[in-house]
Amino acid sequence: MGKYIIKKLLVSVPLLFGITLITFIMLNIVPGDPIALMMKDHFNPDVVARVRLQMHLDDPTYIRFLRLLWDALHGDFGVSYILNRSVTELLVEAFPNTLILAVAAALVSWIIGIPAGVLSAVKKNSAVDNFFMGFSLLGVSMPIFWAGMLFQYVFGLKLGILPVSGFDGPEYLIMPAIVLGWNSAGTIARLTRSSLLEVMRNDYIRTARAKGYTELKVILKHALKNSMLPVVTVMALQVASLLSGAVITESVFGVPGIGRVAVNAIQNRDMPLLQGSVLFTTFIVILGNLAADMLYSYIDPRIKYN
Amino acid sequence: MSNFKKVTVNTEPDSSKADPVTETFWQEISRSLLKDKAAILGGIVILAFLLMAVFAPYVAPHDPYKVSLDLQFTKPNAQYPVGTDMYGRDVLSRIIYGARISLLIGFVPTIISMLIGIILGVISGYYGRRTDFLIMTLADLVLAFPSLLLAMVVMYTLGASLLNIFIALSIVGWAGTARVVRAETLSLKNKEFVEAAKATGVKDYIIMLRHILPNCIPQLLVLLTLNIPISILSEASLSFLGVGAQPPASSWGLMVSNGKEYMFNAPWVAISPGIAILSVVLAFNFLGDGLRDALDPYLKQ
Repeated sequence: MGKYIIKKLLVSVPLLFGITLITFIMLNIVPGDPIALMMKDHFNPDVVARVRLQMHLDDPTYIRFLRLLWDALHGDFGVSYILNRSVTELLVEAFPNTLILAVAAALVSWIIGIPAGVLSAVKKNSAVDNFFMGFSLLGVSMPIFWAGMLFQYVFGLKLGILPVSGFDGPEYLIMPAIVLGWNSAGTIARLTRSSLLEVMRNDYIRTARAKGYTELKVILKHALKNSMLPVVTVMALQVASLLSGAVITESVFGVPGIGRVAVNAIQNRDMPLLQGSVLFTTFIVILGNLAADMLYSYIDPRIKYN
Repeated sequence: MSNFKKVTVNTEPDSSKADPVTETFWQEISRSLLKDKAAILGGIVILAFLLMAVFAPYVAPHDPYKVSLDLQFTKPNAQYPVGTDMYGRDVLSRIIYGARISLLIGFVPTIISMLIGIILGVISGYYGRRTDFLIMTLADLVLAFPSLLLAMVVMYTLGASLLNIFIALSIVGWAGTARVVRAETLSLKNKEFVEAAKATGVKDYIIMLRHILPNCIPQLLVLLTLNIPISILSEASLSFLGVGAQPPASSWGLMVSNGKEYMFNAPWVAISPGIAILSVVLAFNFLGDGLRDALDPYLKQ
């Protein structure tokens, strides 16, 4: 197990390097002077020259990449052009909000997805199956921001029971978490359903039935546990889709998280801030995948570590 | 529960089924697809939207670009079934014309990214070694990014336009297809028919085109149907963030995004194009799920 984890950690190193390289290349081939672009109407050649010098923008490209790499290793992603503050500081400030939102959304997706999948599998091809699968599919098929706006309209404006936007307490979390969680509940429900159906074909299920257990007991005691393996993997891989979705959800509901930082950075053409938030988020996703691997090998010891 | 019963029923000779030996691949798929009501519904909805997009000038009740400020935010009525927007333009007609852009965004980047994925995937699986390592490392890198963030970065770099959406979604989307095709190629390249072709001196690219790729068609069909809605939703998200389609070209995503400021006094402006997105995406998902069930025996091979 220890060896396996170390190996996985070692594989992540070139991955992190590659991600930094790709992000750097893409953000640095933007045509035109980033500082001039950012200043738009307030263009002033003296200021541009001074800022370029300050940000080391006149150094050769490879030096700038190596500097980014070196600084990123030390947890330093540079200084935001617009906010004139350390990018790391801004990200560390925003991250807990994204984390809270993502965890709450993940919980919502499991609470909807797993029971829906189980019920659909038990009542396969019935109206119940169709209803729950349709409900989960609906969540995947809606644009997140559109669903968010509908929720705001219905629960915020018409019914007036939930705050429309902001992030000042637990009640502010409800709508964004449901919108984001519903979006990934579909995947969980479909996977739970197909995995449970697969498991139900096994001999030990037939044995349990032959022993005279009720169908409910067969499912809860014997089938569900084994059918959760692929579901757990997907749960951990959800980190990526939740963080992608959080970008949108945060913008709709005004949650001051990483996603909103990234969106603001795009709108203001704030390159260091965008670079920092993309790298930071992707690092989190890789950590999530690593956790998925470990969790998976812990739950299913049959997995060979070679 | 009724497992035993089902098994016995299935083993009885079923006279309604066509002879499996003489049935072709496509006949078999269409037969099992036609039994799936959700898939049929999905297919019909997609067809309806496609026709609507092609014949937009004949279907649309009003000029989608005609600004009339005295009609600003007209509530849905007989003349304007889903009302008018902030410039007094007919929302229904704009949705009908918007289908052109949104469906184009569904199909074009998906097809481009799948072509890239197919080519790289088959090369990677067929040649193995360094080529494989190089291509798969690149695929892993792309897959490590949260897709929306990567697309945002590409749009930031290239600037917002329809062409750049195609590029961004292609860059984000090819890696998944490449992995699937590579895995399939790996399992096929040691089969006898490939060995035989090699032994008789058939060129590599012909082996890939004639002997390997046709066997990937079932997977690719399912991927295509399920990737199109992802492209449509991604574009909608990018438009919402202001780096997607740009006016005057108007996608459904952009329409929702433009309507968001008027959500509380004129909700129809933003809600109705969203319903169009939801319907098309749901239809593709239904069709894709049906296709996956219909192709199940081929996918498990």
